[in-house]
Amino acid sequence: MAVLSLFLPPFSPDYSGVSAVLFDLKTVTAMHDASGCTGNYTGYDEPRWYGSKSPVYCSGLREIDAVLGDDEKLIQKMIDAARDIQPDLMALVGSPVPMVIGSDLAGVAAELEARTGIPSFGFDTTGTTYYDKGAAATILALLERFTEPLATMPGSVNILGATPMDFGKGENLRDLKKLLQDRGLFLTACLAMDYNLAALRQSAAAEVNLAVSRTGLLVAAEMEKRYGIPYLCGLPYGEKASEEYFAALEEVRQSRQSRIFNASSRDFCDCCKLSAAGGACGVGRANDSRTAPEILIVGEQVQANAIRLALQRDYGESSVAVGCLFGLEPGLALPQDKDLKSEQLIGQELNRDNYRLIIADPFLKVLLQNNQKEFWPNAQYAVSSKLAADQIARLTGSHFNRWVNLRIEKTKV
Amino acid sequence: MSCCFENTLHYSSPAHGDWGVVRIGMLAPESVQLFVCPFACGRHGAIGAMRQGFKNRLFYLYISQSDIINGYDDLIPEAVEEVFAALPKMPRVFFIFVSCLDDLIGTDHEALLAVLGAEHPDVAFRVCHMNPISLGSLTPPPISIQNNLYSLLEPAENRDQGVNSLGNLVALSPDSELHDFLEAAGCDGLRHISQYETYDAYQEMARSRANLVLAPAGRYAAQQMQEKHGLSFLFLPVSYRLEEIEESYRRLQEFLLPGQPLAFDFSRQKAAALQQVERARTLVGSTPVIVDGSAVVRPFGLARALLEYGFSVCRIEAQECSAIDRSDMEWLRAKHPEIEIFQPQHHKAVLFQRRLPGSIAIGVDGAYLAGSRYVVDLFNDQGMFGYYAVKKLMELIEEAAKAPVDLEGLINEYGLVV
Repeated sequence: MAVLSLFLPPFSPDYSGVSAVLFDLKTVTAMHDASGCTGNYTGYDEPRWYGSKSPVYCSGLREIDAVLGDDEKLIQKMIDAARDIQPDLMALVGSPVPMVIGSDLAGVAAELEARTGIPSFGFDTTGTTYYDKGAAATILALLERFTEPLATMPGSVNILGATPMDFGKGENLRDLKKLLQDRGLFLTACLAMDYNLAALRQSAAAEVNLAVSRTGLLVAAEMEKRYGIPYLCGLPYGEKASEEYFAALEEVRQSRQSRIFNASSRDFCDCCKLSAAGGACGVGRANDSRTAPEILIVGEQVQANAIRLALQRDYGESSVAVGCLFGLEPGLALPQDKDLKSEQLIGQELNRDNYRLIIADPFLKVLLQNNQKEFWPNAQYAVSSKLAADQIARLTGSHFNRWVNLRIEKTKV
Repeated sequence: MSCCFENTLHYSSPAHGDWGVVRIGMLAPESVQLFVCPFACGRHGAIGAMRQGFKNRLFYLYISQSDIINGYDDLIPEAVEEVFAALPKMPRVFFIFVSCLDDLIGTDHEALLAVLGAEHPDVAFRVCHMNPISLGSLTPPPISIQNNLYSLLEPAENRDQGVNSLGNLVALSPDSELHDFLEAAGCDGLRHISQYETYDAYQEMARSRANLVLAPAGRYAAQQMQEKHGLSFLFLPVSYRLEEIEESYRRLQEFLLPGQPLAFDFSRQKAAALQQVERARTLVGSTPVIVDGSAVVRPFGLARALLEYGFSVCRIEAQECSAIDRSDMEWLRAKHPEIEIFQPQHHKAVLFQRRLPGSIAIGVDGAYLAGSRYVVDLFNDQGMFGYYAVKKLMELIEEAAKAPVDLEGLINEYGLVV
């Protein structure tokens, strides 16, 4: 169903998610489009593009190719590029026109592989769904092709669902890696930023998967089925919440049971057991339908949940809702959370009287009619791209507390 | 030098791109734009518009897969009404943009325009195309959008002595002697769409006596204006060669004042240009120079000019050679076979072979690919024409040679859209 958007830019699409996952690998990747779709990715969805040598290309699709369904031209261009680039793999990425003409990119990839011997993939992305779907499908396809079950390496973890659309250039991921290292854990693979094919192959040996985004959750659930690796879904934001996160990680390692690290009612008891405050976290109040939430965090669901948990544990803010921009995963949601599928719904939610504080990408501020509400910007590349990259908050561990304290200081001034 | 243009997968460097149809369309005074497309198609245009400060005139109707299957013509009028309701005042121009896929599904644009026009007779509706899939056809997006802009001009009852400049997206620099020449030839100013703030004021361009097409993308629009308005045009692409500049002015003289003697003495401007050439060449010496198609419409012509001035041109970055640049390419092939031709979008570009960090690059794409630290800040011949263009280019080369540039910052400033 058509949706009108008057104020916000479109968010990062599925084909950008595919390309971002392939960025680090030695590929010949062709986005099957005329130029604009590739331009979306290289210009506005990929903060690592400047200075990189990643062979992500545009196929240069033209009307006559689309009308005649001339796959041979595309295949030949791929083969020519492969001759010069010598890739480990090749990929074709769909866009709206291949969707309309019914291109069989998986079939073309099979033909490519038969003719070159190079592992090849076709992704039927359409530009009508968000980046996380494309990213997850790509990671799963790579795992299926390159990863066999391996013996578990104790103390090893994978980070799953790392994309620039959620993490920009990856500062919060670097902080997470440091925290893992400080606790004696080691990284098998970070899928899909700062990794290579060898790391991908080793990823099946991880003891636990850390799903750091909705993309990561989709991958983690599948890896649990395929390789029996349990996962922890969440992020360690905030000093106290981070302690709980690592306690939860230890629990997952011991129990081999996957866990969503969130302020769900199931977590309520656990978190109170783990919390230094012991029963004072206030989650119960947030779940009370009689109390409308006072704080709204809008964005990617796993990150927004992590901010909520940190606000609860470290600052006693218990009345917090999450608004999901890219789809709501029921297993990650609390009753007060919202699936904000359109600009109209985002605007309605932001402007509800019960919210006194909004935490969201700075571009969303334009929808706020009441400037009495406090607004804390936390940019997300999938929304504001490079235009607000300097407002991507550093939130991992105690950085969260510094960020919040600075905002509180600014509010006082 | 060999002719080496290959149709490969396209590499898209961070310096690749141009204004894009959104920004060009925004030149129309009192206009708004509604894109009807899958959401993904609009992302680069919207972010670009936010950077340029006109997102408040740009709107989207995101269509789903089922909308594409069912046809989306009937969804547009309601969306148009919603856009009107959200605007502080009614626009005079409403551009409805469709994307590549629309070329393949046969939307009835005429019927749509008839419905909208009947409902809002005070608004000029146009269907525009953001369809790079048509690149290589007669009317790809950079050409069709210019035609949309000038199709808004209604035939005027009376003509005046004004002259329009078409094709160039930025008004010609006031320092160009073309203005003085036109004045001497009895013309009442060189008009450009960017100078008008209202739709009514913009109609002044319909009263002009002639069109000067300073960049190829405006030629189709000029042909259409000739049919619609009977307005003759002269194609005068920017050149940096003195001979060609002289010839351009001779043609312009004949176009405006046929059979009459030259109305203007260019000796002062020519001398100033040559003096600046000498200064720049002395400063640059034998430093290798890269000429890039992002800086100028005719990179082969510029390379020839620089070689004739005594510069050490070592490379030309051009994805292809346009018809108006072909004779200069042939000249270069014959006289300077040592000069490299690189295609900036060739799949091998990503290998970044043959870097030249000490070179001076005229154009950001060539600079990025070669790793040049010294970059001439020129994009798409903006503001250039005549002897002024030579003098200004030499000043820019001098400036570039004196200090390394923050290339990433410069590229970001350009706000390019693919």
